[in-house]
Amino acid sequence: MIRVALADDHAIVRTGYRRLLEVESDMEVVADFGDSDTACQWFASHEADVLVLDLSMPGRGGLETLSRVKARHPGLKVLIFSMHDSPVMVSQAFKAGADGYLTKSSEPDELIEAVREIIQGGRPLSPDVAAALSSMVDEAAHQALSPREFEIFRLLAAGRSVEEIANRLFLSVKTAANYQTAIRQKTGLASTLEMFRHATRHRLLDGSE
Amino acid sequence: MELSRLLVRRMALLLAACFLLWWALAAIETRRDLRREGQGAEEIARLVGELANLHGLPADRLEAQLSALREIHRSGSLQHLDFQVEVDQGRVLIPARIHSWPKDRELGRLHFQGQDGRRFEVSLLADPVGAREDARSDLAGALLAFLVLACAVLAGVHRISRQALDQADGQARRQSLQWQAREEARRMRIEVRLQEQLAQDVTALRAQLALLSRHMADKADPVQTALKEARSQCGRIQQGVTALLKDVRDPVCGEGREALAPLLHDVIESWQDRQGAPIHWALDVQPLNLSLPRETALMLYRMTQEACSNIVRHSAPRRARVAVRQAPDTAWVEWTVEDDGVGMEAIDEAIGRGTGLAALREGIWARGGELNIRPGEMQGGSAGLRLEARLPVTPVREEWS
Repeated sequence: MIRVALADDHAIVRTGYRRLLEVESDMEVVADFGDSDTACQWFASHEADVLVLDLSMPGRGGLETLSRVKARHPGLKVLIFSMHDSPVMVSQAFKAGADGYLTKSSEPDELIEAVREIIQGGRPLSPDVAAALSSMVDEAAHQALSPREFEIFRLLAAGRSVEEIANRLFLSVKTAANYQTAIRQKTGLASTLEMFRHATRHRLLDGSE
Repeated sequence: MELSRLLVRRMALLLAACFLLWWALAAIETRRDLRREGQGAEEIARLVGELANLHGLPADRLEAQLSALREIHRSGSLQHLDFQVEVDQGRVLIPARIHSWPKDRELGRLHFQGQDGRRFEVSLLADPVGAREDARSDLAGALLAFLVLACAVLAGVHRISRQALDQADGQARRQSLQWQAREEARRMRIEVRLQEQLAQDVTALRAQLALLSRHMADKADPVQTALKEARSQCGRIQQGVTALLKDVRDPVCGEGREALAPLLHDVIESWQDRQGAPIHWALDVQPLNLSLPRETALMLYRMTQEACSNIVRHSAPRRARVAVRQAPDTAWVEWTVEDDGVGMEAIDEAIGRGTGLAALREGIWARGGELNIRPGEMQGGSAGLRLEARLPVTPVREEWS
């Protein structure tokens, strides 16, 4: 039996999903909470297998709740169930220790399946979250580049054309273009704009480009 | 302060200033007239004295006496008076300024006898030339005063109306900015209500419908179908709410400068996701790492949202392009949105009819910028439409307040 705890500040949502999860023969909703403090207090003396957690929680907020609960129960699986689908929020949630992320746009049945998946060690993601994450690309994408490629990557990210880069680095235009292709393949960043976003996020541009 | 009250107050001040100017000019003119009249009286007194010397004048002093009289005659200081001196049977020693004169102009004749028995006759004449010159001088003075006053009034009215218009302009800009700030606040309230209420209610409703579906799995087909459709409709409502949330959300997080390219990229991406029509979108931000003050970045974001929305709804283009440029060392940013769609036949009428473009134009104007709308220039498409705007990089809000 999977012991599930629900944390969402909207009572109507908690009630709806509590009823839905309790219909499942392999699940039991052991508690539900409307704010962060209540959740943290409950976990101080109780245990559950899965916590379904909304990020917009009154009090400490969802991310803080996630960190605290995970610190106390490292084995607890936390499934984020939130309205937020921005890459930044998703990334922050996983950094704080989330094991899965579903937006509230997901089908209710997906939540049930996600609870089962997470217990088996999976990392369930709703399609919109997966799309948002893919747009973020690998955090360390630029680390796969050689020093020369990295320099050219910074110039490309700053909006320099292949011709400009070739002139600046004393390369032929063809060689510069080959570097550009290699950089795209290694980083998965297809356009200049994506490179720019990645470079600004990682503070790779210093104005000298 | 109301515009009419401001104008009346300033015009009253202007008229008071003009009156003072006229008063000063009149005082100067009066002093000049009094001085001239005084000089005239002195000259007449001198003339009378010199004429009296003719009586019993020795022959050897005649020329000296005549020289003194000629000097008085030449001086022109005799106000409205002329004279002629004759000796012995009409020989003219000092002629009047006019050769002949009507009887009525002669004021009188004086007779003197020299020591040698010669008889001098002096005719005193009214001088119309002097009177005419005085009248001309007065007229010229009045005309000059009128011109000075007229110029002062015109300059004053110009300045006052300019100031009043600038003030009214600033007030309208302030009101427009306040309206836009209220719009942003309203968007925020909508966002909160959408997220905190509607979206959560729909989420709960979907859970309840899912529960119902499980309980009614054995029910007849119409019930199953209705439930399935209800769940599907709820899903669509939730997608709509999510899209609306993205529309109304303030995308600029901090209070400092904001990188523009990612913001605009998000706008274009949202339209790419939303509409099924094959529009090829392009974004060109120069320089690519252009970052702007929060208010300007948010304004360009909203402008691009509005323009993209118009393109998708009304233009049916194959291609659309959003471009933002800030030339080095300039305080202006240039924004262009262009498509190759159906365009607009009567642009001004269209602006008057709809609210989108009019609000866009007003928003740009309120920030000290300007918007031009004209047919597109993209090759190969239809007429298309091109929106061009210039905005100051730094918000001008403080200048209007």
